[in-house]
Amino acid sequence: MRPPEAVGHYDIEAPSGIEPTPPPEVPRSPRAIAWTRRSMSAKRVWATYRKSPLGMIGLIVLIFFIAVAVFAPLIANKAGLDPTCPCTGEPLQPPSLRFPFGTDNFGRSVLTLTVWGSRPSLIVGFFATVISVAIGAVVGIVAGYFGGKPETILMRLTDWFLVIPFLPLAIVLASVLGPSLFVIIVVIGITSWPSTARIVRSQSLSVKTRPYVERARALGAGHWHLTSRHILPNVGPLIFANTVLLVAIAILSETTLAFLGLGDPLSTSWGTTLQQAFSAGAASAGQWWWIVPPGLAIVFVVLAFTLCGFALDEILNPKLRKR
Amino acid sequence: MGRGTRLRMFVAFVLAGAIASGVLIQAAFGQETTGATGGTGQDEDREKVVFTWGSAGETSSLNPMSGYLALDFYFWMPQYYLLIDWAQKDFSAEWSLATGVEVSPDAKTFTYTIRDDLTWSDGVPLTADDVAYTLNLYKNNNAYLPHNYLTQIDGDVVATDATHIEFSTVEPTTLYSGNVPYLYNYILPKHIFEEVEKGNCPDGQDPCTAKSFDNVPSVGAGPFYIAEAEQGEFVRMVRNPYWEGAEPHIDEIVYRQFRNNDALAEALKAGEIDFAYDLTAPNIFNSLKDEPNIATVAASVPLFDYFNMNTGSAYGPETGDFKQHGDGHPALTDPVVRRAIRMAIDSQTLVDKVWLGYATPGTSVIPPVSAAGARWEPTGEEVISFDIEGANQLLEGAGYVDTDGDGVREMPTDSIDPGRPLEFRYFVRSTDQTTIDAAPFIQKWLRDIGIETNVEAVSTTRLGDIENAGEFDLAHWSWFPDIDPDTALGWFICDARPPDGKTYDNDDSYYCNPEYDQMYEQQRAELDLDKRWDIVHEMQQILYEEEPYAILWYPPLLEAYRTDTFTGYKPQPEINGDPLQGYSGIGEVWLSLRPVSEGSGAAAETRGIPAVVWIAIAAGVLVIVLIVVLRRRRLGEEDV
Amino acid sequence: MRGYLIGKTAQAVLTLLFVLVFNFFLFRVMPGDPAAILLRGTAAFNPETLEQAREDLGLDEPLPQQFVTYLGDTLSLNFGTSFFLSGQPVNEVIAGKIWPTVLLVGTATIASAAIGLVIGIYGGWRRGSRFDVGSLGFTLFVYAMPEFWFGILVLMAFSGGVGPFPALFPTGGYATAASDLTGLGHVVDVLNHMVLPFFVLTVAYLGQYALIMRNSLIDILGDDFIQTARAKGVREKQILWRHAVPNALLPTMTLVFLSIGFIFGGAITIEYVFSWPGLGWLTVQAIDHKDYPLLQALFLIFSVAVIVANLVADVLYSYLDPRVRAA
Repeated sequence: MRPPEAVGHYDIEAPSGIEPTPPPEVPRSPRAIAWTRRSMSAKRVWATYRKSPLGMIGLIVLIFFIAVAVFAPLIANKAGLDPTCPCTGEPLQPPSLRFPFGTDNFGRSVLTLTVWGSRPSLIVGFFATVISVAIGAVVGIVAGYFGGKPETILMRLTDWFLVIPFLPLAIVLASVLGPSLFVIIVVIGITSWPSTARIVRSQSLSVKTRPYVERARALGAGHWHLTSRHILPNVGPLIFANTVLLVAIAILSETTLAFLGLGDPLSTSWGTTLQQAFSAGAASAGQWWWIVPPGLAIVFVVLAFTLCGFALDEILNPKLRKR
Repeated sequence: MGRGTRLRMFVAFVLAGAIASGVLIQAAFGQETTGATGGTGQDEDREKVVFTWGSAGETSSLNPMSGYLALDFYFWMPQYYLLIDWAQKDFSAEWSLATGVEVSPDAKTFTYTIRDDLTWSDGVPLTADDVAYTLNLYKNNNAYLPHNYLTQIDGDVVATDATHIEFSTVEPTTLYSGNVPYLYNYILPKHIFEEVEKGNCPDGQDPCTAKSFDNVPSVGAGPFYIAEAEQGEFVRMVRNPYWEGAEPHIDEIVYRQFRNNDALAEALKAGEIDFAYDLTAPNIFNSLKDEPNIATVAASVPLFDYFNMNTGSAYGPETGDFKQHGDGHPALTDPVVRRAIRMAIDSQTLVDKVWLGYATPGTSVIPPVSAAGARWEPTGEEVISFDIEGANQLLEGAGYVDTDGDGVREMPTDSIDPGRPLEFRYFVRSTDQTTIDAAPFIQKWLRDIGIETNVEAVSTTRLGDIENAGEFDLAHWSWFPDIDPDTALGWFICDARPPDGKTYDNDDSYYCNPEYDQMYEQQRAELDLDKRWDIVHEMQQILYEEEPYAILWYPPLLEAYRTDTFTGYKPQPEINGDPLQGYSGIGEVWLSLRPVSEGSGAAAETRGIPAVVWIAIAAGVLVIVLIVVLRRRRLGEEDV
Repeated sequence: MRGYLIGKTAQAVLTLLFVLVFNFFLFRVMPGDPAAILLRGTAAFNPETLEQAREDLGLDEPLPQQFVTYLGDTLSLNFGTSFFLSGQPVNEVIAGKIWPTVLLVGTATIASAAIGLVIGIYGGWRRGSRFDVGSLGFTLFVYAMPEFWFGILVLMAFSGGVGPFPALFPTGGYATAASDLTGLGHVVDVLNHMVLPFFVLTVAYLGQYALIMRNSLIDILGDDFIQTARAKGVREKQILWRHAVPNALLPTMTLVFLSIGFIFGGAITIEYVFSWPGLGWLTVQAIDHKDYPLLQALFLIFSVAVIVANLVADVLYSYLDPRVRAA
């Protein structure tokens, strides 16, 4: 398991920092102003991002895997996942021309398993993170914005959830709720929100005190307006960077839960493939081709997300922008 | 010294201290766990002969009062007697602790004669008192497994003298008549368990009850007894000094528990163990087949995997406590549909794909390993073969036609629910990989005969709840029946149906056939063994043809052992049986196992780097730490 | 500083209480009847024995009653008897398994932290150098890989022996079972069994420490006081070890302690792969069997360990950070 706190300057060269500039005082619609500023910001972010080699490597690898997931039907025949398919070969064969990654115990091509396994793995990673970030952001903004009693209660709650060891809790929930992809998504989502909440809260605190927010409040803006129009967009970039890192962790978590037998056994993800390989005794039988490809796929995808996340964090995290 | 240096020294000393204390604790703690070497009074000059075996399973308890797993029995076999044993050759009845029985004319009172020449491993003689006491202990305390064989006994078992016990039953029965080895109850030492019942456990264990007593060390009347055990790690059995029977050729039996099958197989290959029990993965089993000096055996055991079909939780006759509940698909109440499903499943293919050929395709509810003569096999015309076309014709002819051309048949117009498509819920268990592996095949075959299924994986407990609630159509599970067919056949009587959606009971297919129930009572009371088997065969045939269960396969017990260390295994049954003779009282195997050659049975060597190298490494680490600390101190002396 | 410490301790106690309550309800909410799991599929499965089993396990009392019993028992350190292990007291079961986990996780944490920190320091110090690029690649790789996957590969290589790798080490377990070794022989035996899981855990977790330390150090190196020291002519080595590292170490140490919770997670899977008889594997088994008493106790232990680790981190921080100490 990995804590998401390992952020910072993963890069080799110190990137040039960027500062958010306040909107120019031009009489256009407020909405247009905001969007112009945001798109300029985004362009600047991209320009800076492009300069970081590791960030670009991460992005390219990521795009590659997403493409594999999206274009899976074109790369490997889906029927190859069905053990009854006549397209299966001899069971447990090492890599050959016909089966570049060898076959599993049903004679299915491990390449097919790995290619199609990208879908559930990425889907779980993505959706679990969405849930986690949604909860974390709401909790963090409410805590940071309202302060006082709500903040204390929510932050206590966050601390408590941080204390409860992640994997045992996830195992218990997954075994209670049953083996399905949906359950895994929910379990990872509701056990990993605290880190987002913490970050969002401290950021909300600082944004809350900025001049334009004070001005808006003085003008009579309500809570909803302030949080959604001012706090959220400022917290947004930071959440985004953290989100990318969380996806990596969510994918690793799904793999671990699947390996322990808590995943959805009827789906083919990298985690369930590893679990089936291990419980079928691939390790002692020396059938490394069944174990290595899904594992490497996980490593590269997680690495890709991590690199992108670090690159974004470098650029978007206000704490790191001081130089 | 500067603050930084203090910090570094602090860290260095913490490290060194941790390593040192770790080593010290290890040495001290280590002595506790390995404990005594079990003084058995062996010859000091001869090296100890130790038979080491292992598995990836675990024991639930070494106390027959509370153990219930198959593995537990292997620790009772070398130390406790059964009244009547299962013959090694063919599971027929063999007198063991009891030498004979007298049955009253009304077949309701039974008097057993007990041997008088046995002594417990602490010197106390074994008498009929132990037998009577043990049977009552099991019965009155609801000991999980042994209790079941005593339910028909009325009142207590009485020891009429030092070599006789007597008891009566509620109904006349053949099960205690000595025809079959029914009383699967290991006889325990009264003088130990009586004290335990009073709260005085021999090892001072607290709390101390008959069920919580861990029975380590144990007191047995067989050639071995349990000297020490660590839960989840190992069990060690040593020789009973008072054993008067044939002299065993081994001094100790050591069982090692592994976490997974890979480790188990590796250990066997490396010679760390002599015998690997229950290698659940056929893949691993295969990889061992070609290893030198290793023999493999896909042994038969009384176990079957079945495809449960809900024959009518919502439609069955309401007898006894049973109330209709649940929502099983009405099509499954029709034996024709169930027959078609059976014909569409190719057990041989499943065996080949899921078990790599090592299992046996299933037919009757009574597995091949059962009491001699009990099993019925369909022959000739009776056999239901894999036949997709025939199944299609059957369904077509019975009115299950696909009227809307979507590939799925619907219920006939004159049925309970006309027009309803044949779509079934199909449950597999997430903890049993074979059920998951079989699902795609079965699903495809059913599709070929116009039946659509929705496969869902659930946990074992959840499936239990679902079956009790009757909210399923098809489910894949397995049973471990007793050797005597009475137990398995009893799972299909009307009274065994889960009655109300919440309560558990064994008839999970909700099968109810009054004629069958009658036959069940008959076979129980039939004293003539041949006549009894006739009734039992007929019952199996009824079940085979009515198919509340489609028996998919009989799983194998995959075992492997080294041929260069020990010999003298006793497979039970003789052909292709479990070499460790898993179903027995004092198993002969423990008397016949002997080293292949001089010195081949020594205890396993430890693997890894020798001690000298470790000491060198430790010294090296210490040197590095010291160098680092000293360098830093030198640096720190220069001030800024 | 005393106020700071008292505050932190109070927080820890409060968290502990929350964990107690959470613990209880979490497991009672789990569906499934443990008595049925115990006996399902065996010949003992009938309504009478089930009733008896349920009574034996104390499941027939109403929920509030069970909670009160639970609180009382926990506070007196009585964790009841295990369901699955047929009446063995939970305390005994856990006591037998706690040392292997402490040994493995403890040594692996120390080793991975030490190695990771050193890598991070040198990488951050020589940012952009070949060492940095290489170590960065390496640490990122191990950070991203599932530790059990690495564990399986190591098991295959060094225990089973694949290709050029020697089958050198035992296949699992803590010590050669039921052996007569004592003293030094026993220590060496355990060490041999521990090498592979220790190696896997260490490698798997040094990644995050290296990354954290590197980032922390780079942060510090950009600070003004470092420039000042350079201007004053302090030697580079001194700047690194006497100025930069101690300051960078502070936030790193706290993160190291906080991540102990995650190492427990890794321990669970590694204990499984290497048959290491510790708390992690016990947890998985307990969950399989819905063994409430055992689960409650284990969960409590893990949570307490993390709470204590956090508290230690806070104390250490307060001791090392002069700003807090002076307060």
